[in-house]
Amino acid sequence: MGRHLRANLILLPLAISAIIPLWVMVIAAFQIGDKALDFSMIVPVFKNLSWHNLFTVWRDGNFSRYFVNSLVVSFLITLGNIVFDSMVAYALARRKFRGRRLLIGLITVKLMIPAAVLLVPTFRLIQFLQLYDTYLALVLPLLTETFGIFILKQYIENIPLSYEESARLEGASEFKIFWSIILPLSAPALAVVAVHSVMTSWNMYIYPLILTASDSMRTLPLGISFYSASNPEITTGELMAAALISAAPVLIVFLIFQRKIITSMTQGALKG
Amino acid sequence: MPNTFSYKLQTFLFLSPWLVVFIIFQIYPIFYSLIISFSDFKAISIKPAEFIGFSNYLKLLKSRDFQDAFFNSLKFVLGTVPITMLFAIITAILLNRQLRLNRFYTIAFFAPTATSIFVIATLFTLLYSDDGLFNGVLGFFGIESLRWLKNPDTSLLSIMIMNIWSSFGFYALVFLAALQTIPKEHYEIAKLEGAGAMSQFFNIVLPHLRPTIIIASIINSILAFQVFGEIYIMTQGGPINSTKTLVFFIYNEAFDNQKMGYASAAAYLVFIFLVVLSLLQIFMFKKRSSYGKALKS
Repeated sequence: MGRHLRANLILLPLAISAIIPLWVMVIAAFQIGDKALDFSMIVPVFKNLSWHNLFTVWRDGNFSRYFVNSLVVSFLITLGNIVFDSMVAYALARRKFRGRRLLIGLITVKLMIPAAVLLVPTFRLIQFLQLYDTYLALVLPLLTETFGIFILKQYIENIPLSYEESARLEGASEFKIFWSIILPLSAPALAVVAVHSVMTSWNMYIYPLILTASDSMRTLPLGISFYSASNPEITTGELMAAALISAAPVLIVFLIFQRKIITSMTQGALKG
Repeated sequence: MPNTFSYKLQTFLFLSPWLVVFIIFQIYPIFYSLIISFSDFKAISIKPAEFIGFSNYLKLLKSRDFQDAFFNSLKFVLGTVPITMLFAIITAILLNRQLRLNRFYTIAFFAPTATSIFVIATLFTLLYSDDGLFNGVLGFFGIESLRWLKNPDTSLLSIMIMNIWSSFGFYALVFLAALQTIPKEHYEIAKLEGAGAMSQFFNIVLPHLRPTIIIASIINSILAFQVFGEIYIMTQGGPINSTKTLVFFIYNEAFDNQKMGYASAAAYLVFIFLVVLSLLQIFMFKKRSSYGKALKS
């Protein structure tokens, strides 16, 4: 008992300081007025709560468009990550071929290539392909993703071989085995990859910044940041409402799948 | 079977989407930026780019701005990564005890990770303002207010604090995952042998976590070395270059000043430095088998 008390004494303050800034953001988004984000924001004043800020920014900004853009881009990237990452992961986990170790090495090196090195060439390449300022510009470079490949490879390696062998004896093709045996069995790992992809693609900032130009192509984070930069007289409450609009979808997805994400992360999907 | 043509073709088909994306959007750009780093290529220019040898690199190494950016990034990595790792390890070990509040804790620690850098940066700009929450906390302890982002002495520190806040929860979950793979018997044997909490930590927990710590700290360093969005949104590198980091420098030269060759040379210096840093980290943690295990997994 005493040990748990000590654990809580450390964790509780840490957890509270982790959550307070986001809590303050939510409160400020629903409070009327242009108040500083200080101690008073921690306790909401109930008579000042309203949807006013959210309505104002949604009406004044082009947010429904940004929202759709974010939705399209995130959906395509996540779909690409799930399908393509699991194909590579399956080949790496199950198939024998020359250059397998080299490939694993390359995937690891990819982690070390800083995004900075890729900025200028990606920008030029997208211009050359005449994709500048399109959805494809944001989606194509991110269709595969290293984190997902590692997670899935590890997970597939732990699936017993017997499932595939009996299917193979019955004459199933390799793609059938991949599609109807490996993929369904990898569902927990796929969930982790999906959530990770949704999070990173929904939140990406630098790619939309350099690969799009028109207002109608902006994703939420970028659109809101341009919106607030071009409205110097924006109130604190409105700014926080805009931030909340951008953050809420991913936070809601996370809260809904929270238990699933954490159990699949902690059940072998990420074994060191 | 692995030698038949159809087996090889199938393998190739499984790998092909990744290969296509990798070659077009990773391999090609790497060579492209290497080549233009030796030229005076500008985005908007009538005359064609000329080969100018190493002069971009020489100019960079002498540039005061680049040096500032390099040391700011270095400070950022050295200041954030060890603390993030320490917080994450402590949090994971405590969470591993199955406390009653565990669900609240995991939500609280993970929520900042699920929030975009734009939201975090906007929020913290307000929290760091003169009458914001941070000065409120200082005032509560009777400490004089700071100007945080507006003072060149504290601006980088402010962004570092924010970075630790927003990233340690993710690594805590990664470490928690690794901790849960330690067989229970190990603790029981240690208990029978009369090992205390400290000795359990150093003899069981730490060796088991070592490969995960290596990977996590490498990834964390690479990300910290590339900090950009925060800088772009909060300070634009100021005040007086105090928060100008390497990626912000590269973005600034490439897209504001249109000097793409120069920026690519800078990006290459960053790349070389990162590879060296990663290798150093691997060797620092290296202890025979654990290194191999870390990279093989």
